[in-house]
Amino acid sequence: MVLLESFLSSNLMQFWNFTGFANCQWGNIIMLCVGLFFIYLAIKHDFEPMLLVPIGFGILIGNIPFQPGNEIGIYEEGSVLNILYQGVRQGWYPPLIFLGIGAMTDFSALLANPKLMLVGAAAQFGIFGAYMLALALGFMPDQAGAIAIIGGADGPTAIFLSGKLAPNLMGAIAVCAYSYMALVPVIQPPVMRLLTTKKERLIRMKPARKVSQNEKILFPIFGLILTCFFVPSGLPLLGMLFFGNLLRESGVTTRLAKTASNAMTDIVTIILGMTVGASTQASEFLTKETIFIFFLGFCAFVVATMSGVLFVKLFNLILPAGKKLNPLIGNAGVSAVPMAARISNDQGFKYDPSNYLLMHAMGPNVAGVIGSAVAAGVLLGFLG
Amino acid sequence: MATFLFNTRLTMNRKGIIITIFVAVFTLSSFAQGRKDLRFNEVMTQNDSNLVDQYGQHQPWFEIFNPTYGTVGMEQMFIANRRIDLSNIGDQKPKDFLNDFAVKHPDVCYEIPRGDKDTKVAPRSHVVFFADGNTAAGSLHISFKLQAGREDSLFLYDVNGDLVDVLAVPANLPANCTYALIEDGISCLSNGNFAPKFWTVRNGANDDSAITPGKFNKRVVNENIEKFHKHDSTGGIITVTAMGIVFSALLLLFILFYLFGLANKATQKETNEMPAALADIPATDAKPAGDQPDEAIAAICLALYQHLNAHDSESGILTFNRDDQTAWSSKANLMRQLPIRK
Repeated sequence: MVLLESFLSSNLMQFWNFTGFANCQWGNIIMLCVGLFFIYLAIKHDFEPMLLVPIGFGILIGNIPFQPGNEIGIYEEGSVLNILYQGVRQGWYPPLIFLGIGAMTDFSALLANPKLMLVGAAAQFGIFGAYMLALALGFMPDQAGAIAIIGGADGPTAIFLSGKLAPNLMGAIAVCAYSYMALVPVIQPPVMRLLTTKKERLIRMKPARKVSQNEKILFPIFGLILTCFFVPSGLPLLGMLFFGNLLRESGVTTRLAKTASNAMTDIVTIILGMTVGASTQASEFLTKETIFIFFLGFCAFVVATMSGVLFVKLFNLILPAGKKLNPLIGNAGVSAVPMAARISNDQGFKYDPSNYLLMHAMGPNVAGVIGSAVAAGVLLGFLG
Repeated sequence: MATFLFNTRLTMNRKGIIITIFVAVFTLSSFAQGRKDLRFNEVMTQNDSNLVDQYGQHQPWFEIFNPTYGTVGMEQMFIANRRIDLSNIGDQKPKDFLNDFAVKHPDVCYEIPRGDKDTKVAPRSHVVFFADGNTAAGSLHISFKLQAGREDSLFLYDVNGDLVDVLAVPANLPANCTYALIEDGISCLSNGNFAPKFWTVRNGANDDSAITPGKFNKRVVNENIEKFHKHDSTGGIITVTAMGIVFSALLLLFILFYLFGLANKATQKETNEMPAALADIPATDAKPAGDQPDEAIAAICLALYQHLNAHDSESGILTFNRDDQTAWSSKANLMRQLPIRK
């Protein structure tokens, strides 16, 4: 009887040591709360639910305490999570997401008014502003580059670049990028109001011209050649983006475009979001660097918005009277598609309920996608 | 008949072009990076107190570096200690000749055996061979010895007999010293001959002359990061340069599509002006199809358009094209099962 009791108690003790309760630390509790907060934001407030639900749940998965050695954790070689995580580490998922983005993006708004491309370029100053700040905070150039790309407001690009330049910071950078993308409606409007006058916010832009099918087909081809000749290191992202767009616009590969933009993107988004969330294990995530990264990410978003709006104002100085741009579309130069364009429209509505800025803002918005991919390629070329 | 022949020739030509392109692409890609890039990297002929093999023995060794970004399998490549003349082998294939030669003269030539994962060299990695003449010890132990005090050479041949790399080891190489490339993977073949200017003797006295079997001869540092850290500590230079590049790329796109836009506008004015209002649409004599009223047909067209999400040449215009394809030309028709007479 005593032997049985001893046997049972030792087994129970061993089992207890394997449970999450025995291995739990404060870091795990904090991260579980962060995960729950993300899920709450997504479900209750509809903040980027497609991203925050997988990331939030991934954070829960990644922070369940366990005893290492059983091929369970995302950082344990051979575990299921580790295998899925390789797509993030090796940079497979971001180009696939870009393929889907290309297949679902209509570049007509940009092609109808190609000067909006320059607004998309100007907003990339957020990236380099954050780069300078990161250097000032003591990060090495490669780490600073990886953090700065958060200013592009483009999750896949941030994951792609940080995976190459600073893999140890990737979890924090990815979560930061997606969090701020979800918070674009909170961050951008005050900056936009601060930098514009009421008169400027009332500027009405001419309806865009019609874009021919030929232009739509030529855009991905010439876009790829021109941008990648400048920045070959951006090829994985830009190549897939323009390829996806050609599938969409060619008119003869509708089935492929549909698959790329729906099923494939959904699958990759689910796996990418979940694994990025799971990579934020408390021991890796709760560090001083993470706090800096969140601070720098916030600054990057603010600087990107400012530079987009200010560039439009500057541009208006040289544009003739009937062709002036509404500076409220400047914020859309960050590539949070279509959230940033929607914010331009909402802000425009507040001052003139009949001023529809959405399609005008889509121009710089999609230009921002190209611009941030080019910027990532430049950083990779310089620091990779 | 002539037309048929012409069409057949055209089809054949097209097939030929496609096959040529495929062959060219695959051939070029296979030559892009691989076995031909492997390089001798470091060698030690008298090893008294340096690297030991898996049996704890000190043996002469040499190192081969894979400078490519893909894994390179070395199986069936040949390592020889003298140049093998392949010009007078008659009809025999170089591979077969080298094969026979390696069997007959193991003291001169060694064929790397198949199926050993140790002979697969990872990207930007090194593999160390022991030149001890003891092939029973494993695939990385070659069939001939390197001996101290004499001028020795090493020749690396590809499976098809192409010379990949050459190394001439000086006779006066001191004991426990290596003869190593100054920088890993530099090509030191000059017209098929060894070029000693890239090589140096290392004695392990300090970091710069360290003996590094299986490791890089020159410490790998990301020079870009060091450079930017040192010369651009505020990030100003990279910011200005990078923004310049981003702007240039998008400016070029802007100019190009601005010009396309102008051309498109001109074409649209000529050929495809939209009617200002429905009243402007000229009345036609065309009768409505069947008994359906115009509104019903318009509604069906709209529903079909919405359902198919079809892209038309212009937004707001729906074009119906006649399907001129027959069973002779349409793939869809050809794949359909034909009705069976009962």
